[in-house]
Amino acid sequence: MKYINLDLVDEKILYDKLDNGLDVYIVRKKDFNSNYASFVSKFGGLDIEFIPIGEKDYVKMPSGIAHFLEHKLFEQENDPKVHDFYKQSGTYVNAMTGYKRTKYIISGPKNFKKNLEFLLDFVESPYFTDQNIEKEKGIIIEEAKMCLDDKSRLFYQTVLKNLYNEVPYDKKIIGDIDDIKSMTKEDIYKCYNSFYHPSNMALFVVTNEDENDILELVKNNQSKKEFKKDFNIVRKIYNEDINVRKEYEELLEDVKETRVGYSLKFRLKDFDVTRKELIYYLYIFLGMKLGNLSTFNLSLKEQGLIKNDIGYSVDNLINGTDEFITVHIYSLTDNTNEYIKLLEDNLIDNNYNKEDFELYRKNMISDFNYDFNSVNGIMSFLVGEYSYEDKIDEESIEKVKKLNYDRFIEVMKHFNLNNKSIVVMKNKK
Amino acid sequence: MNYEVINEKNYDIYLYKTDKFKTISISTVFINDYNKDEITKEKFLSEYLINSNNIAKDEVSMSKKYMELYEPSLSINDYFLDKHHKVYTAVFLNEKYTEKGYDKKTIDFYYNIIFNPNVDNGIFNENNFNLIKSKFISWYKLDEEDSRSIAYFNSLANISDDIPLRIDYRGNLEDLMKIKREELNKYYFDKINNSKVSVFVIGNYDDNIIKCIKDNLKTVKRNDYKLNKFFDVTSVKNVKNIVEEKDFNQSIIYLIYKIIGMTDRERTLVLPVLNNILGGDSAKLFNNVREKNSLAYYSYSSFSSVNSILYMYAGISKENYEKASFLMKEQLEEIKNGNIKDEELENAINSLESSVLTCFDSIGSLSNNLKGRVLLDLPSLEYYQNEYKTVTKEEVINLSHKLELDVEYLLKGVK
Repeated sequence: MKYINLDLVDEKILYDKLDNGLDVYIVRKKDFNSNYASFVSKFGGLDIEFIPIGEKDYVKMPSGIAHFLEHKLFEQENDPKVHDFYKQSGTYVNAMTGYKRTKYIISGPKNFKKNLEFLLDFVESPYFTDQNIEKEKGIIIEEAKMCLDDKSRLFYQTVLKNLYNEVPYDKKIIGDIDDIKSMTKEDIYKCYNSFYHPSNMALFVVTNEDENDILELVKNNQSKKEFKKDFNIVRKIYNEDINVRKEYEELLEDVKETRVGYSLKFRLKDFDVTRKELIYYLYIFLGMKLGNLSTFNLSLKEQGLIKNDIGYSVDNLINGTDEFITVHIYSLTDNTNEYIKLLEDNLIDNNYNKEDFELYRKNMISDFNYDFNSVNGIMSFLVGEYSYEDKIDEESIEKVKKLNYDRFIEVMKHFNLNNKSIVVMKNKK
Repeated sequence: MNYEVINEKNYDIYLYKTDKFKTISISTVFINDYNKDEITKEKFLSEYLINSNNIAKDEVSMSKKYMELYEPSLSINDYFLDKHHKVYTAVFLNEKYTEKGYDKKTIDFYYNIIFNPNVDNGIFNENNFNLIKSKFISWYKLDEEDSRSIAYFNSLANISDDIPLRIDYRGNLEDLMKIKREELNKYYFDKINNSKVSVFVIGNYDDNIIKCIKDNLKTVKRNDYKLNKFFDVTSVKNVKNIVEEKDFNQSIIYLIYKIIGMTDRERTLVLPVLNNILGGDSAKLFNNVREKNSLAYYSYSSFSSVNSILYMYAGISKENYEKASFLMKEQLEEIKNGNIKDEELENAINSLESSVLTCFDSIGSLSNNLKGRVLLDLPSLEYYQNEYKTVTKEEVINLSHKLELDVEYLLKGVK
């Protein structure tokens, strides 16, 4: 057990790794009424090929199984039901599944200690039956239909799908309707037993309660349960290479505005920098090149070439033979070719300045103060920071302070447009 | 939450001091009359003002300014009730977390957004005008792709009484194309000069901040309006049944109810409880439409006490429309028939109390509550916290009998 001091924002985090492998991070905000806990499993939509615990061979699960499992953990053998339990204290409960993780959250001002214990208990006591699996299919099919109507989601899925050859980004987190219909209790238990182990999970808490009391509560709760020793996850390692799956794809949909996604794929080791530093530098780079401080964004709007501000994001993928960092740039334009040409010229013209770099760095630091201004903001910080390297430490914030322009110039020398993928979504008529 | 008031000659400042947050929130509210055909213009103005001003003449300069000031959150929101409320808000880090002198710099910049718009020779800047116009055209097109947004606005537009909730506050393309750049500056300052002005400050402010606010508000004029808090609705003559077909995978149902003759207590306390029992988290709609019958991923209810409206909604498959509609109506009938378990009432009250407690943790919620108290004579957070528990089952049942179905709307996904 130790405290992680975040001097820059005058805050501290209590951290412990329990005997069963669970990472626990607790921030106390005693002036706040609200409490918030996130219980995270490192199991997501991409984890469909693995060797189940106790077996020898790889299995391939239907896509969407992590999300289906997430729904079903809300089912309990005995009363009270999860939703009913939390409703009693007016506590919000929810869960969400991403490509890499599944997160169970509770937040509310009342009854926190019991609520937290119940969170640990319901996530750690699965109860799947043929009947409750069947019941859930209708609900998830409706959710899938809702997702199908979300053009931005469909667009983003295609962007990711076209970047990777082996890693199964071609599968939706929620799965296709046929996948959902094919879910079985046996498969879901296999996934649960293979990934829902404390050593593959983390707990984040923001609370007005004493942080040591909360840690003690978690330890007591976990010590009463038996978990498999020498737990080992064997995910399929994909031989992903630097090439993209598809360089160009046009989607014809019932859309009113044409979306263009321009993505780049990089191998982390080609940059000679840590993952987190690279992500920070890329965000500053994209901000300077495409963000609101760039004349590029403004001039394209003035020319009528794009309809709204250019959007961008940076993502990373670890579970392959190499680690990849991807850059995504989004716009609305009716003239894809001209836009792409101007975009590419802009990205590689090496035109940046130290003054803008420092402005971005300064604001990245002040963002941490905004984060620590609310319970939700602190939770976003904790979960977000942990997602980079499965840890949070003093360096989490100090690293931003240490970013410097000369290093930035060095790192960006490796930036190139060699491995790109373009997706255009336009009106089918 | 006890607040202080400073009554200046032409405006009032309402202050709530707390050191709970690292930020300070200032909202300056301008209240004036409006016509429905001005809604698009007002939305346009808000976007124009926030994107540039006479000091930072384009978006790049404006963004640079924001970043130099440690990225304060600056926003302009328009609320169309019986009057138009234009709310300019700045939430910024206390200078303890930035640099000395930055409170004043930020506040001066914030008021420049309000009083110093980007004009050339008294006319709104052409380049920025055109940029904002393009942005709106694009937004309107994107809205046409959004099934949930279509269902929400198109169902409410059919309410049979002329209440503010019927208004599509996004504006529309037709009115956008009518906006004349040459007229906007005069229009804007006519509105400003005929507005009732109130300022709301939350956070760990000091005398320098108050002085800075006063220095920036020397030119405002005193105007007073009598505010109509609530809109009563009339009894339903004919239920409107509307089916709209669109190229979506999922269908969306809306059932809109008018609430006839609500008392003040019902409006303030009983209606939120009724709504929570019917369509809050894990409530009757969730349990019956989703969990028991697997007909929907989401099924909730919501309400507007100002407009005397409650509505239920759900995303469903089109072939399940009749069954879903029946079940949703049945949940309300259950309440009318008194089928409310004790724990349903207790849970609803607990949920609402928790929401109130959570509001104390958000500088935005504290600011909104203070505005509501001052401008619309709404109760304090403490009042809600203490009074929700006094709502009885009988009161909920009585109120449920005042609900009349006005609109049954289906956005039918035909993909």
